[in-house]
Amino acid sequence: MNTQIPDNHEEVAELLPAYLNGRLDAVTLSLVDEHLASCLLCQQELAAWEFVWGATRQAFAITPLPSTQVMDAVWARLDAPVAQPQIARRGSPWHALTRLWLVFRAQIPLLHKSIWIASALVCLFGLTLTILMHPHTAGLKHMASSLLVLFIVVVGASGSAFIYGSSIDPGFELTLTTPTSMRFLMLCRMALVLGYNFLLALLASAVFALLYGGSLWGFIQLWLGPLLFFSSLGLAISLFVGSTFALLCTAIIEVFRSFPNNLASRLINLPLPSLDLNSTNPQLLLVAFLLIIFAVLFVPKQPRPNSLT
Amino acid sequence: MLALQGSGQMSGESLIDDVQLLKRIAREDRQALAELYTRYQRPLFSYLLQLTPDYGLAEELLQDTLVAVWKSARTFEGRSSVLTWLVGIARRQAHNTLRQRKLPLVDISELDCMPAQELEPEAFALASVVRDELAQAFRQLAPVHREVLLLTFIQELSYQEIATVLEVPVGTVKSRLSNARRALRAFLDAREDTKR
Repeated sequence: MNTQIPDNHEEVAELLPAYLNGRLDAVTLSLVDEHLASCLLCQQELAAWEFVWGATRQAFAITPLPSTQVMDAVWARLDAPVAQPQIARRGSPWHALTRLWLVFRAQIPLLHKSIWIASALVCLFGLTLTILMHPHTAGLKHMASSLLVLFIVVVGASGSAFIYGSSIDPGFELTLTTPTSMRFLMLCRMALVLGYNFLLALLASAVFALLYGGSLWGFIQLWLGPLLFFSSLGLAISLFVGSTFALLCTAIIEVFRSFPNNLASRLINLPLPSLDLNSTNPQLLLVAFLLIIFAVLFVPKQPRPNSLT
Repeated sequence: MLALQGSGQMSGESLIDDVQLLKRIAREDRQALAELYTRYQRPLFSYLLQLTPDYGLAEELLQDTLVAVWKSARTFEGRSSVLTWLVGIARRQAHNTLRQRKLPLVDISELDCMPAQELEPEAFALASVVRDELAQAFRQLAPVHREVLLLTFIQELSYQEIATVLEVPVGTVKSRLSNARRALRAFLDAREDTKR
């Protein structure tokens, strides 16, 4: 534990609620005390928090207790047989659809907001770069489209790498307490992120096609397969190794794929020599599909059955 | 990086006791669930009462929470404290039930984007505000603001633990707490002005 003296107001201000709760360790407490003794700004900040702390405690001091029958009701519910009609209703297609929709919708706030913002910004950045290239000749146009595809695919791979795991999901342990399968949740999240990135890519392609001509469908074919492949690869690697590693791996492979004449690509032999990563083709789509299946089947085993036994 | 102590008012010994209780609950020991309830009924119920003003519904949600704890005690891995885990389950139960019954939920994202006011030194004393006024001020606060104040100063959870309960990033917890403080102050300032 590093216990350097907090020398900026922001760091001390963030510690003040814990300071008031008496939750700082002895060393940190003395450092904060030391800082407070000489810092008027932080003293004012402490006064503000003291007021809120006191007000909150007073306001909640009058909270009533639950009645004494709570546990009786709990035992009754635990002992009650499962109602048959409810089981039948739960099996209905309508219930399944409703549940699917609820689970799907619930994933939106659980995914990190930066996924949405960063993806849009990186895509916009890629589009801006291609526009700044003024690709009016055939050669330049080819380079610009390759660059845009590179950005689209990197966005897809990085988004998929950050959809699952306790390190990136603050409520991961709580999610485990729900009866919903983590595989199903992961698929929903993957569909959301992939769908969002697909829309971004479609928008960028439409702008590019509008400005410089050419077939929109032809342009989509340039990134659709690679987007699916690298997104699936990012997801699979993130599950087994980690999100950052997945991001790094897919970015490196993608850079080598986009610039095949680069010296580096000749020095490093990629492990997928027979797979064409530069266009949408059946082999690439199949591998992408298999990667998703692989990720779903081998998603790290949940600790539900035995973690506390 | 500066260090915080463990969760809430819990000492290390009682944390171990809590985990032992959950292990016993996982083995379907009813006495253990009753003991856990005795320990945590107050923080859980005060938290639920902030999500719904209906006493009966809050009790029902408390029952839902205990049933969920009974069924999922095995999933507790110790990544968070037991209190954090319990409050998180209570929150999920409450949100599911409120949504199913079509009771109003606050647009959390909207509240998170509330513009921050300029910070000024606090110029009023707590002693001048009577308890009724404070209770009324808290009722006027948005539920997400009441919630974050309760988790911070009553449950005494850390930023990270609150982030786990609310399933939001730590930065959102900090901004929400800061907005709650400003909202409380603004409300009480307004009351002081009307008194003059």
